[in-house]
Amino acid sequence: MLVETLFAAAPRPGFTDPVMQSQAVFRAVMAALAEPGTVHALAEDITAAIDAPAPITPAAAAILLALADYETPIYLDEAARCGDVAAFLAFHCGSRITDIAADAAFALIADATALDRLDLFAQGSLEYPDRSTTLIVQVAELGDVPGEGAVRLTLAGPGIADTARIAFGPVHPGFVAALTDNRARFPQGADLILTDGTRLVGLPRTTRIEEEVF
Amino acid sequence: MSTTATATTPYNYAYLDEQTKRMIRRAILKAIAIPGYQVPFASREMPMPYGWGTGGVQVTASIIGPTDTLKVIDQGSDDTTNAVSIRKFFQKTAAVAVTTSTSAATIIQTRHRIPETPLTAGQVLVFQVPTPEPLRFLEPRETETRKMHALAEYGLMHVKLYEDIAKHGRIAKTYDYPTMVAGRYLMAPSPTPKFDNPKMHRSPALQLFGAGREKRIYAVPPHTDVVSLDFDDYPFEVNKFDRPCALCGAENVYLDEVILDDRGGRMFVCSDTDHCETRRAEGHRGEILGQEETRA
Amino acid sequence: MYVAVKGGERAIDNAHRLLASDRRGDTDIPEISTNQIAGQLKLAVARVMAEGSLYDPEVAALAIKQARGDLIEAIFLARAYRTTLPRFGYSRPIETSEMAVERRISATYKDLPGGQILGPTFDYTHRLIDFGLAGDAVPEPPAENAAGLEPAPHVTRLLNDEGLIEQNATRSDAPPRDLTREPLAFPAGRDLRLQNLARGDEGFLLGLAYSTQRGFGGSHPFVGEIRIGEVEVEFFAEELGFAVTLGRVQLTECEMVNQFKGSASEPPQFTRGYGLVFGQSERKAMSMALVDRALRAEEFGQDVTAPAQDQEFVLSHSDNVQATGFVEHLKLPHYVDFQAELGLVRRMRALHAAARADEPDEAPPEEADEPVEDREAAE
Repeated sequence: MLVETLFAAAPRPGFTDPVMQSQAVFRAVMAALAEPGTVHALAEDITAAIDAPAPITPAAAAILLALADYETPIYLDEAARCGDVAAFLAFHCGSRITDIAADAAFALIADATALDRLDLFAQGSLEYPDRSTTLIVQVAELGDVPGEGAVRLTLAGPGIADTARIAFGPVHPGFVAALTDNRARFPQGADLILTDGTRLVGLPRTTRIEEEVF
Repeated sequence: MSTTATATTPYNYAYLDEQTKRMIRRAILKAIAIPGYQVPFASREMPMPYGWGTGGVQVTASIIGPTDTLKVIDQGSDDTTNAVSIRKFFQKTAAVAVTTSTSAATIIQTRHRIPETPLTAGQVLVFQVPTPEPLRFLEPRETETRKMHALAEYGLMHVKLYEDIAKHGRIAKTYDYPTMVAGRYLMAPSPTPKFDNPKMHRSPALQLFGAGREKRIYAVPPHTDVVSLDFDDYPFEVNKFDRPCALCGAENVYLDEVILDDRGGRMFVCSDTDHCETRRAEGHRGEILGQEETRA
Repeated sequence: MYVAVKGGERAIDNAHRLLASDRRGDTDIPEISTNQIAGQLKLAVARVMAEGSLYDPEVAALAIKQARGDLIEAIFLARAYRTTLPRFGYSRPIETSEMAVERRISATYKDLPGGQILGPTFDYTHRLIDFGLAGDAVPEPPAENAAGLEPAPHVTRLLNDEGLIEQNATRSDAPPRDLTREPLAFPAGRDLRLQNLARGDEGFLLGLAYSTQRGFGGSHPFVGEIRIGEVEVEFFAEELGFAVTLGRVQLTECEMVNQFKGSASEPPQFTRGYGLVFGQSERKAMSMALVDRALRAEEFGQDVTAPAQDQEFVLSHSDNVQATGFVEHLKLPHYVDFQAELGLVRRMRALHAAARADEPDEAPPEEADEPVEDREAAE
């Protein structure tokens, strides 16, 4: 990528109050991962202020702005791999963009219908299972009512009192199997944050899933 | 007590710089995703000594926001000097509301106790941890204990507990009693009395643990199994007291022994001061308080 | 009526006021200035800068004043201040061979290029209390320094010419590791070990270094060279595309030369131990060099048998801010845990007494007085 494409346009705005908005976004992410399946909406003053370049959504951008920096390489999926997104993240986060999924601290998945494997991302080691990728997966729908190409899952595990249910999509037909494999690698594995643009749901590696047929 | 203060320091909100907060926040998220596993983090030098809560303070500083209400306890009490000092630190640096009421708090930072009042969903309990490694006193080398956790090889701890039984007829461990989290990681609950261990099991609150000097953060998400190690024929049991609190009459709570004179006079009172005060405000009376009021 | 202990906040405030007044002492005596501390207690300032990891004589002097002369407390203050400073990046490696030498000695050669320069040293002073110093005695002006102007190549470079000493590791462009930015993991590379030792407690390193001389991790060291003086610190500014000089720092550098009998792959040669600290601090630099060499045991195929060779032991316990915090935290209230132990000991004593009463003819058990928890400290 050329430097001139990187800085072709003035960077679009990110947080208006980085300290407080980072804290608020982090708390939403923390609550989402602590209680998988629960839906957490970001405050409107945050999502409305962020003018992220397509295809990155305001919520996905907010998560990266809150958590990524020069210490965390970011992987972009094919749909997100464009100069505007890279320039936006370089300006606001100072993060290095990597093409190697296994090197990424964060991965931005703009097109969930192309995501059929999680084992290519950093999994951590048995000694250091924390050294694994956190994926931010953008989906069109998130909630109770599954639409075309969506899945509905029953969730169980840490953070869930009994079971929880969540529907989202559209995703790749192999996505649920990839999640199941990810759980099987515990304590290694990737962690996922699903977002529909303004709301988020956490799916850490601990969560056991069962697909509901409908 | 519930007050709001305004930030009056030249430092960043909640003292830590943003890069440090991000680093700690990332560690917290991984800790939540791997319950009971100790995530290494680049603990910073804090303006209070190592061993005095720097881990808990860094965790609290990284999660706290202006809409939170903070409670800080040490030995169960809001009024112990170190609790006062840490609460003041956050009032000064984070413009946060503080409280002594367990149910009014959104974040509770604690050293050595879990409140008697059951915690609720949405609350975060932050533990100050001196020695995060449950195997440390059995194997001082980090390189070795890390391998044991990697392989879930915890025989050493079972042998130690079994030796206790053989030697003393019971497990001679009264605090920092080892637990298994979500069936995978052996975890030090921090030096809380084992009386508090059952409160960790499937708690609706999020429990975060910060060890500043040892540079480790770990977590127990809500509704997660935290099982105290034991044997079928020697089941885990909590510390028991053969009397109620002398002030509020509460039973089945953890008590402090207070020496009243040098002739063996002593009484036992709630370690959780908020719990005790709340009960007394509701009209509950223990033995000593009842006598004194009758005399008065 | 019994009232639970309250008023922690007032007690703390009062203690702080008392501390401030006690620090100042008798107000009829003039207050000590930070200039006086920086100018006349230079070695104390140097230690605070070295172990505080912050080259700032003014801050170090102020920390010493605030800490009432308690240097570990002053180091702690410097560290807590340092952690709030913005970071711009890492300087270029300093060139100690270009040092403006104030003192330079070698124990391995009688004379050498650049000469032996004693400089301001306690060596060869008779340790007699100088009662004249109690007054305002003005010292004689120092003699003009003619030496130190010619270049003084490192002694190890001279040895290098003959291939008698191990080559220094080649310079790497990889960014240096930094234990203040990432948690230490074992095994730690030499860069992190040296950083840890440079920040480490002088007394702890001195004791470890001494232990290597007494056979705990035998090394046979010679002081190749000690040099003290100022060097320039350069910073490569990405936006300018060249290095700019930020200033000068005073350093003490020690290169120990150790005998090595060789191994299957390496011929017999001398090996190195390296010490580098801020300011004038020979004791620290020498101790660091000895411990550095001891920690390289594995690299030379030597058995790790002594404390000074054990990197997990040395690196985990060298930091006096960590050590003093954890040792001193024992004075915090521990009555909740103590209560738990009280209950257990009482119960076990009751069982013990009952057991003895049941078996009057048995010999008394041998472990009667053994502590319940012998390995575990209260926390």
